[in-house]
Amino acid sequence: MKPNVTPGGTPHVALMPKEETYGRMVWRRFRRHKLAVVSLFVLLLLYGMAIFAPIVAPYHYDHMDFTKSLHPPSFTSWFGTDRIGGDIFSRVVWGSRISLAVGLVAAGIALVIGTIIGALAGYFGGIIDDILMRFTEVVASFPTMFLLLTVIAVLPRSTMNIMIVIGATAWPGLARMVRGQFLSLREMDYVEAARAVGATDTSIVFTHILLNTMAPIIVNASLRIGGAILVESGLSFLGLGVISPPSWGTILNGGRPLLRSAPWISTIPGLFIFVTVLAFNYVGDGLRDALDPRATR
Amino acid sequence: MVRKALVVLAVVALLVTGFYGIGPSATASPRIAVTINGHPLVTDVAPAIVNGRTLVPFRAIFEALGARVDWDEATHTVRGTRGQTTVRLTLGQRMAFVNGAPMPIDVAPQILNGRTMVPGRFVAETLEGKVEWIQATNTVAITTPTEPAVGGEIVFGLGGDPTTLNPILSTDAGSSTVIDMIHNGLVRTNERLEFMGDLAEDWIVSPDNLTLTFFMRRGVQWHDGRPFTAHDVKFTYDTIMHPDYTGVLRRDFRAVREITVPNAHTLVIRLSQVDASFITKLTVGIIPRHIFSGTPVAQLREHARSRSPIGTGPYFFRQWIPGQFVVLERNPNYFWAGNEPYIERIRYRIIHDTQAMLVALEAGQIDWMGSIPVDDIERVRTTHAARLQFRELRQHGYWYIGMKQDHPIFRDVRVRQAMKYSLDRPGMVQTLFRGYGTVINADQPPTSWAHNPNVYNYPHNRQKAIDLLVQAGWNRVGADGIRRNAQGQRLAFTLISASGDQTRVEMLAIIRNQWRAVGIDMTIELFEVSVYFGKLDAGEFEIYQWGWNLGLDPDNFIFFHSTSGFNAEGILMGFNDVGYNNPQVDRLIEQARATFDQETRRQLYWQISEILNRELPYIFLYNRNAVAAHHRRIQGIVWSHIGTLFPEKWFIGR
Amino acid sequence: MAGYIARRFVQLLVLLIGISIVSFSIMHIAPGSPIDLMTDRTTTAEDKARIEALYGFDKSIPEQYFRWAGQIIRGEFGNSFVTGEPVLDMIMARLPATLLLNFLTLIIIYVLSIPIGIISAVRQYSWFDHLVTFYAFLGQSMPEFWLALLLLFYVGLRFPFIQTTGMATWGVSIAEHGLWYFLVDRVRYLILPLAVISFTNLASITRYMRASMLEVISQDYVRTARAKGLPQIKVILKHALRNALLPIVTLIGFELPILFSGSVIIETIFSWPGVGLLSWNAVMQRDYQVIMAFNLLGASLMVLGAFVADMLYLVVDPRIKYN
Repeated sequence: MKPNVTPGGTPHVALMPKEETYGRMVWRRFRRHKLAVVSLFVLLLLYGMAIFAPIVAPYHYDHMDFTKSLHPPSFTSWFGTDRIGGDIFSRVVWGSRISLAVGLVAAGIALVIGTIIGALAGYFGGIIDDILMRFTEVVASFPTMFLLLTVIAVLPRSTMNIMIVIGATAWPGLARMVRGQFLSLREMDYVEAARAVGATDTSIVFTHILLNTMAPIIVNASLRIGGAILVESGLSFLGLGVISPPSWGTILNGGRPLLRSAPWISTIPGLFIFVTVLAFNYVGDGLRDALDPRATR
Repeated sequence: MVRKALVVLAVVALLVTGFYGIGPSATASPRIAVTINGHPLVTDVAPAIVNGRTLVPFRAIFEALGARVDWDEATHTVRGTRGQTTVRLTLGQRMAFVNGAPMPIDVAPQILNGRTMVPGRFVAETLEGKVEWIQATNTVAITTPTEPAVGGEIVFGLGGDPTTLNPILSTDAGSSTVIDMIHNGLVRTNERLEFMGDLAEDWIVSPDNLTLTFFMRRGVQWHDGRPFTAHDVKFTYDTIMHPDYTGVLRRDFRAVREITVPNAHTLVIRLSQVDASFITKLTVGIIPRHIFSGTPVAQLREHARSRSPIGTGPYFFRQWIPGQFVVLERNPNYFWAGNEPYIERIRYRIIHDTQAMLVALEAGQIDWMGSIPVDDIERVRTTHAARLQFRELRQHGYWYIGMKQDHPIFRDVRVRQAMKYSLDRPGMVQTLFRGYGTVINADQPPTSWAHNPNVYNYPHNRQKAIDLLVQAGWNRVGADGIRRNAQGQRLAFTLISASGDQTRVEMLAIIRNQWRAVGIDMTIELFEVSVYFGKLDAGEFEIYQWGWNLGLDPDNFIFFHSTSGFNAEGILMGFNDVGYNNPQVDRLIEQARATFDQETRRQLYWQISEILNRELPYIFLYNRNAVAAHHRRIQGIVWSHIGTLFPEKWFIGR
Repeated sequence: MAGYIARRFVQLLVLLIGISIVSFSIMHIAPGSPIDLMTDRTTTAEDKARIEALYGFDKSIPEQYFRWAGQIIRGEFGNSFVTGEPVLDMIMARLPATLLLNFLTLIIIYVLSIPIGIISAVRQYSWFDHLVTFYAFLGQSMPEFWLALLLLFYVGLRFPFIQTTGMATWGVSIAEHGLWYFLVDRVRYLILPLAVISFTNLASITRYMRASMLEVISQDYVRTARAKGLPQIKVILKHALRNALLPIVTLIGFELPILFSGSVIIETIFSWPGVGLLSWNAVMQRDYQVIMAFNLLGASLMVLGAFVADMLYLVVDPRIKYN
């Protein structure tokens, strides 16, 4: 048994089994989605690579050697070298730190803002809902690139600022979803009951509603991580990405003029972005199935 | 199920990585291709190589070259005639006859696969064609001389919409390319970049060099049929000098005191000070007074005719579809006698991405690309040699690193010299531009007549750099490998530049690396370009990297004269943002400006170059060359070493 | 109901004014002015200051804002500082290209994703479902520009039928060449950009449709219908489909603004003459008039889209009440 998140269902928060058993059940369901498990493994590998970058990478990301300009992949440099003789393998390993961090942090920021705004709007409704939702629309309606550019122009171009900007523009969808969940959940019997016995707004939001909204939020967040990595690579295309240390997007874009004469420079980071985002999508998919009580497999 | 998905993944991975194999293939096909003016010569029997000579079916080659050809069965003789030239070739004989005169040939005409084959090069050259053997593609490329004739169309690739088609408001290269086809200036340059009359037929300079009198060409018409007069010229220059003018040419006319029009065909310009560079400013396109005179100067940019211009040039403006095309059409009433424009229509196709433009060129969607991306030059040159012609153009300018002259680190000339010695600039040109560039050592580039070839070239010398740094007091090396002086200060600074250019990022990475090797620590900060300009104008930098494209006159007042720096209120008066101040250079610049004799000026600029080369207000880096490509059928193109000229002389060959 | 609409309308007005103030301020606080890029450092600081004063950029931001607002109230969007063209003309010249591309993309996405989503849901965990999921994720996981460039080199260059950049051949018109020729010409230019955008955006709607369908077929009335022995296909098409489509239909309200917003990346690579590139250039060049017009139009559409979506909910789901 687990809390039911569908409207019309009958949640039994009081009867919710211990956390451990619930977690075990989710894991059991998740394991059935083989591709999601493979993806999770791939992601763990990538994050391991990012954490141990200084050990994994034979060279520093700034290393260059004039005399080894544009060497194709070989046993000495697995992924080849770029124009100034930098080792692509090392750069990709170091780049995983930036790209994966951008994904996590930006998605985290979007998650926090989106959940808070969606929850407040959905729970209180009325004028608060109106104000917050119009605000959400303003952010959503702003051309993302305009916002990105302006902020990047005003603030120094740092990895942190780029993460913040991506996160700060990615939350409106999440806020809408959380609001929708709250709108339907707050009318549920068990919430009314809690309210009747004098529970405070805070405790209702946290112990009753938010817990029941967790599943879609987690799924949404896991998809946002991949999305943020893609947005960063798009920024690199426009020359606004993270430069040093390089992100995958930066390496990919740096190889753009050489896509035909030295295709390895951009193909390899491109594949890394692709595999990572794909893995996040599959993990999100697996989580959706695992957390969805109606999944019958 | 999972296995299936994995198989699919593997297939996709294979497909993606499979692209590795698709690069330019080096395997030469044994087939010989023959092209005539870029068009492949279609023959039923393939051309063949015999004793190192290419033999081709006689009828195909003669006809493709525009010759009449007949075959005499009795004597086994081919006779081709074009214009005044007759060629006679006999089967099996190594002697040919051109207009009756015997000419030996290496390989005799012979029958191969049932066709009579003749030596291609001999035939083409006899009929005044130019023959080129392209090894990479096994192609014989024949270009025939053609009489210019009216007709045809060329399609240029243009990297973006022009911002305006008003010559006095345009600042970008894209706009100028189009404007130059539509407008004329008072003067223009020839292939050697010497000045000659354009709308002015001739001019005289008063003995004190302060009064210039221009005599207008007669019978020139605007594209709308109205006559052109000296009043149009005065109107154009007056507009530029107007306080409400929003363009950037005002500075060029600073020396002008007065412009008068004694009669419709004469223009008199009086200067308040002698300025030898002034004549070079008069290439700016003239705009029609009868169109713009009713418009407030501040609103010139908004005028519809700034986007659908009326000019006097060889091409009419026809249409501009934003983001897609600019279309021009031939002006049959063009005034230059004997130089009528030949090409019926010029079409600019707007293609924003450089790689996409190259694809369009390779696919034959455009006929002309101004600059092939450096990494693709060799490949395109070999694979498309039969269809395209290439031209290397030098940059009339240079890239440099500018250092604040009163900065605690850079004010010591030994440090500046050490920084220059530690850079392997030839290596940079080779790595970054595959050799399409030149190392620069002073401010006048090799394309300028004022270029001084004798200045010191600062060869890459790490030891020399270290010695100079030690002499300058940076004699201790810290644990981080960075030098320190007696006060323990680190030899570290922050360089600023503009973002958005991959080559610049790579170049700066190399520079940082090479400076680090001698114990200099450079941090790089990149800003969006308008933010960056703001910082330069406000003097908010230690050291920066940028480049100049120069005007036709070597006058360098604006860069190195002390009054072009920051004034008392902190406003940058010219572009001397590094604050270079050398009274001797100031004097030389002023003298060179006030002299009209080119030889005297050359001597003065050589002296300036020597001083700049020694004192290094800038670390001069290099300039880069562009390789332009165009379809071989476009002929009669006139090139200077920095670009094309006289579009009215170009024509479409066969 | 009328009260609700009126309230939303007032909110809309307040919102638009708010957006215009915020974007105007951000734009003007950002360093740089149109002059910087217009002159590409060929003008001295002194001259630059003079030109900026001519355009009024030296005035305070509130002062500039009121001037701009006054101009909007009079119904004038003004002229671009960079090109001198009327702003509305600039946008209108580019809008059809973006509309065409995005409209076709939407059609392709919906036409493909609805049946695919249904089959995936009905045959959940079948090989088809897995394949579709994989391809949906495939498109969603690739950097758009990477895919675009690969297609450009390895497809565009191989097939002469495909035109790699632009939107139409100059001089081709229905009047002169006939409808068929005209359409074929358009298709030649549409293939590449359409392929990239559709492929990278197919996933979300497909997944949405699949989820929606899954939810509906687990409902009691569908089970009942199935239990009654009705054929599977009939159950799906007659009972389940209509209900599963509802959330997808309301989604269209949110897609409305997307129709009008171009993609900078796609438009750059394929030189598609749409509004994405125009607005991006305007931002890069600080062409305030153009950016402000864009923000205003974009925001209006967004708010309108949200409003339409709300109205659709109201019509579709009688349980929702507004007061």
